[in-house]
Amino acid sequence: MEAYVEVSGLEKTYPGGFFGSPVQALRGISFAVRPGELMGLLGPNGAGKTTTVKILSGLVVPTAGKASLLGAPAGEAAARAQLGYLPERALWPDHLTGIECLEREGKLFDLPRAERRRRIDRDVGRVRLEVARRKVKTYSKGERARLGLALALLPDPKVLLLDEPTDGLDPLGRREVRDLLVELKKEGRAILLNSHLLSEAELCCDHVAILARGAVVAAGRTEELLSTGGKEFVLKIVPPAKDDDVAALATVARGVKVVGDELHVEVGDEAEIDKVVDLARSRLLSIRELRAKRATLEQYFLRAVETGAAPPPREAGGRLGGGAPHPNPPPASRGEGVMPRPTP
Amino acid sequence: MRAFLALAWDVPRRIRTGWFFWILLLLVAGVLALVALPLGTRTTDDSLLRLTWFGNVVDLPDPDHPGKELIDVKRSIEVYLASFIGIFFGCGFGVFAGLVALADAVSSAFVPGAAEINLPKPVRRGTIIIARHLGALWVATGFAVLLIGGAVAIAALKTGVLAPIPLVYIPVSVASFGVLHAVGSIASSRAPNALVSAFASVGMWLASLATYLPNMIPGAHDLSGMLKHIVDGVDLLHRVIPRPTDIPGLANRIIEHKFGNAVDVTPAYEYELMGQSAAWWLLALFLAILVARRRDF
Repeated sequence: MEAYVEVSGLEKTYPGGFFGSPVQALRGISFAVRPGELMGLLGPNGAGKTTTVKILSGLVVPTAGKASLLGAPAGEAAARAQLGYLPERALWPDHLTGIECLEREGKLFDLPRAERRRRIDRDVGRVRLEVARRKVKTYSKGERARLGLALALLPDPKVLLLDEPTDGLDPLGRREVRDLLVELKKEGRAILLNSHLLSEAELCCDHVAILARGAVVAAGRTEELLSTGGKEFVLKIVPPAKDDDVAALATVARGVKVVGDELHVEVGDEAEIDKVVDLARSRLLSIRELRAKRATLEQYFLRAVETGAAPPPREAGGRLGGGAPHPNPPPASRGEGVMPRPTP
Repeated sequence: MRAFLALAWDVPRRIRTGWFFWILLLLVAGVLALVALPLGTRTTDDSLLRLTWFGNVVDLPDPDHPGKELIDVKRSIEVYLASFIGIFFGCGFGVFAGLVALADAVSSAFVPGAAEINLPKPVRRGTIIIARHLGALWVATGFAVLLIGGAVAIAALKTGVLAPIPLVYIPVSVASFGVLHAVGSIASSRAPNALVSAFASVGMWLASLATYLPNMIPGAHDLSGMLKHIVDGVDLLHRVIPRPTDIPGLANRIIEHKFGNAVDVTPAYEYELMGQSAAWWLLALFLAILVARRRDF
């Protein structure tokens, strides 16, 4: 499927001014977001996330490489016409009401009056902006975030760039936004989410790209990145396993570790877990829960950023290899693995 | 067109919410109250209808007959309103106040936070600059109409004589403002900051005034040697940079039927002034667009 967002070998160097030295913000990053995909762009401060989003939205001109939205070079009017952008830092016109802001936005996208009204009603309801008729200067941080989302959705964009969309929202509001993002994804839009909230990204992004020092250090399907490849399982046993139970289970598994009231079992392949379960049952241990062990995005993120590369390679498909970040990764592949893998 | 109008409409909508707008309105009301309201007419002992100010006959020099007094009421009102309202308040104080009040018309579209809202839309950066500049002209025209049109209307109501000639100063003051505001827009595109824009446009105005000084100092053009070269250089510079200070004089000459026919003024000079002002206006906007197109936000 043709990608809606394509970034290939993107580089950006900011001039350092009279006395400063140039700052290389991006060192040849590549990724792609296809219709119906929600990709999280993650990274520590100064990693290049904002520069990437600014290039895609036409605010910044790249030094080298390509960035395109629906085939049109980012920054061109044709690309911006298909773009809904929620900036992290936005000076919404305080003297206008939410409805007036949305009216203005509709005019900037050249929408006829009737269509503007229809979309405003739709999007105000969609983001639950109950204060739409009040002046923006009276809005709380969360209400501003909702207004920003409504503004980003108004042009009915095929591509959404959302910079911290849940910033300022309470847990209920964050869940509503997550649900909305899933809904938008199902509508076939390509969504690029820039967020510091890794738990949020983990919950709603089906792909992530982790940036560090201007390079993609890890990228892939979230599930695949966080999965242990069917080699680590968590067993919850009642009553808690005794030392001799653990020792017995260790004879059929590669490793067994007691963590609280759980057993973390490492196996050679998925079939081995059956042996572990059979043995546990034969020893009259009651299994209350069995699940594949999964890293959190935060754990994965910290490892990727600290080592400057993805965690060590695993055998399971879709995982990323480790190694130093590639200075100029190849363009995004068109296959199942959406993002290019940094060269090990 | 919808986008263009929405961007232009931002300017009046935005300025209306600021305190400076209301101060300007109060000042205009004050000027009208002080300058136009006291006007009246009175028949003098020699049976002549004369213009009065607070009941006293106004003695104005007749521009058509040097050394003589203006007697005709309509002509007196024209000269009075042209001098005080048109030139002093309209083209002088009004342009200055407009440049300060509307300094952020263009820059406010590009400041951090606003650029993120305005630029990722299917609207060219040049369109934003021109729309915001036209929005500023729109506001400036409103104030000029209120000030000069108001004065003409009040004078007509108070004296019973309609003297519409000073209305010429409405487009003249707006044109002076427009050229300088366009120059300020270059600064707005490079460094989105209202203060920088105000300094650029007011600074250009002061430069125009400063380079006009040799024409105001008697004997400055009769100097010799190095001083003559300096005066000639300043004269040349004055003709090259924007000349908003010369535009009211052009309007005055048109009103007095002296177009290209005043002291040291030829038709070629008048056409050069008009062409140069229009060219600077367009050039400044072009440069502002060029700067905005090439920079990162």
